[in-house]
Amino acid sequence: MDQKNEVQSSLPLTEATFFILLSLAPGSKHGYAIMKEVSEMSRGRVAFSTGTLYGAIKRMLDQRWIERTGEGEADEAEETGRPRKAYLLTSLGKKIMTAEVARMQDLVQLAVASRPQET
Amino acid sequence: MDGQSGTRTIVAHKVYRAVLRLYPTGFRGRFGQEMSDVFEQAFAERLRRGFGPALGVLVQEILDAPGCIAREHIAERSPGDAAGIAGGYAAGYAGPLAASHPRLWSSLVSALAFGVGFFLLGVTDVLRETYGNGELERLGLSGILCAGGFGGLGLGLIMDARKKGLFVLWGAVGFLFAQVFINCLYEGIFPNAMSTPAMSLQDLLIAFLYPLGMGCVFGLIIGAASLRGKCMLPFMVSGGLALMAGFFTNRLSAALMQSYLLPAPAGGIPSPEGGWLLLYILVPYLLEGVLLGALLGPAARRSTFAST
Repeated sequence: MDQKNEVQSSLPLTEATFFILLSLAPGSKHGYAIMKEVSEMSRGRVAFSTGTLYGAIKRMLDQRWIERTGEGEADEAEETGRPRKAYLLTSLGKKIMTAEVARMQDLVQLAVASRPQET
Repeated sequence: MDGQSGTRTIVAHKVYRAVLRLYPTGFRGRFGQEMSDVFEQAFAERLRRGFGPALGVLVQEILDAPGCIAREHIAERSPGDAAGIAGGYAAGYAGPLAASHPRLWSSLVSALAFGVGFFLLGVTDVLRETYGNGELERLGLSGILCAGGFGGLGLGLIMDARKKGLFVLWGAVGFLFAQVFINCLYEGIFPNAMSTPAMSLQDLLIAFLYPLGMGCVFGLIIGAASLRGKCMLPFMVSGGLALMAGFFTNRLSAALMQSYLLPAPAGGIPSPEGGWLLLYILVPYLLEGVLLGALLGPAARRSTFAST
């Protein structure tokens, strides 16, 4: 399957996947930062458990939408002191994110255009 | 952190790690440490706002865990693996149980064999009804041979596993002979019983004489082949009663399905068509075979032991 087809066949994204990709759009983040960012972006509506977060991360890693980076970077958040792994969007992940946003824009435009006129 | 919140934190971490252990090994090896770290960070941050919010993090993890754990277990295994694991567990439990209960083992083996045989008999009946307008008698013949052959195999495994091939032959031929013999006898004595529905208790009893007689003849033939004249009468009676019970189950399950799954049209006899036909014929046949086998298996074992 070429990349264009792969992008199209991946849509629509689940809410969890979309929020994770969105949180990684500005740059790499580790698991806890993704969790906090998603909660803030959704104004507290979407709160991941670690199971949901890492289940989605695993699938996105397997599909090469994101990659692990920053291995060996020390945990600055004092709690564990262990090297912390961060995640970064790949070029495929960026394309999927862009395609999903475009799909949503189309839907919104369609919904606005077909909205019944208020009398 | 005071002593009380320290203890609560330790307990919460232990509970979380216990939940984490339920994830598949591969997933845990890849993300377990990270997940644990993230949970500890989230718990510590919420704990600054009080124990209630911190407990909320743990509760959310526990509530989400069943779905997440099940999803990861399914994702780590192909359907074949899952079936294999389920089969392995079933065999792991059923094996020792059956070994310690020989009657149960004989019942299971026989029920499985007769169940398969009668299911195939049902399949040939469906094919005959669907494609042959009831004219493909050879299909009916092969169905009867299948039912008898598989049943014979099950009984052979219980009575004398070294001669199971012979039992298959005796079973197939015996079942066919029993059917033909009882059919002729029955039509001679009760000429209209096969073509008219039972309207009274007498009609019903006459209807049940058919499987009783057929089971007795089948039991007699199998018994003659294996028991060398000893204990044949009890085995023959067991065969008759077991086939009668199976026949009753067949009719009862068909009637229940017709009553509850596809109710009869007002004043008419239900006539299942298409896909329903499969269900109406195959399920009662399967149940008939399973019950017949489940009853006949222990009787075969008992007769074999008593005759030696």
